[in-house]
Amino acid sequence: MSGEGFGWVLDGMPHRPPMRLIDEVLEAGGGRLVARARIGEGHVLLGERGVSPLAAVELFAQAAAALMVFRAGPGAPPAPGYLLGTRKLEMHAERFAAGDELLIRVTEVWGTGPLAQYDGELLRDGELVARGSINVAAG
Amino acid sequence: MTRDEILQTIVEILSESFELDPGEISPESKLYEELGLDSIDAVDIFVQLREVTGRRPDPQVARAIRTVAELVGFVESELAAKAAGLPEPDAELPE
Repeated sequence: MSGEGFGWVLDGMPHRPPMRLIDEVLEAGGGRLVARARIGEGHVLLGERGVSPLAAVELFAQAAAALMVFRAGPGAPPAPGYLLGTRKLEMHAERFAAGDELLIRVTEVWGTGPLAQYDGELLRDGELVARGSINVAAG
Repeated sequence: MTRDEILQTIVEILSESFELDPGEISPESKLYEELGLDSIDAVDIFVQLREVTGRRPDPQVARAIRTVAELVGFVESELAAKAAGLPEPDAELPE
């Protein structure tokens, strides 16, 4: 499923601006989700040296949260979730700057009970700038 | 893979992922009580075993495993299931 009509996914996330870093869900389904995030001038993580590429971990986690909302379906109550950590993270950018547009792709890997692992990729201008796996807990 | 090769693979996964001494890992080792692993570590283990077996682990079966020997038996049965062309179990992911 792709295109417009994913506003309900963002609304179903427990995150709220300015801490909701994802601006738009572009595609969802088949165990994967693609989202867009823009680094605006007032971005909550923007410092004098830009945004650390470690933000990729949180972007992956929020995209995974969006995927959980998509799986739950419209109207499901927002459920809390937790980023447990990452054991694998590659970063290929020194920082992100105001004006950068980032594309986030997450894919479900495996889960048991409330625990799950997702693979994530972060692209800027079509170039891979971060890749890794995150573990999350829901509920 | 032979049973010894599977055991060696599991010992490598455990020692490299969780900084355990390979010499302290035996088939009788209890994953949680003796090796100090937890349920989050178990997710990492089964994701890596998925790459070994080529099959998505059954979450219910995974939750019941307590020892290294049981992990070896799990991999053996998964490899046999793959060879027999059995379907993969359903995913169990949080919503």
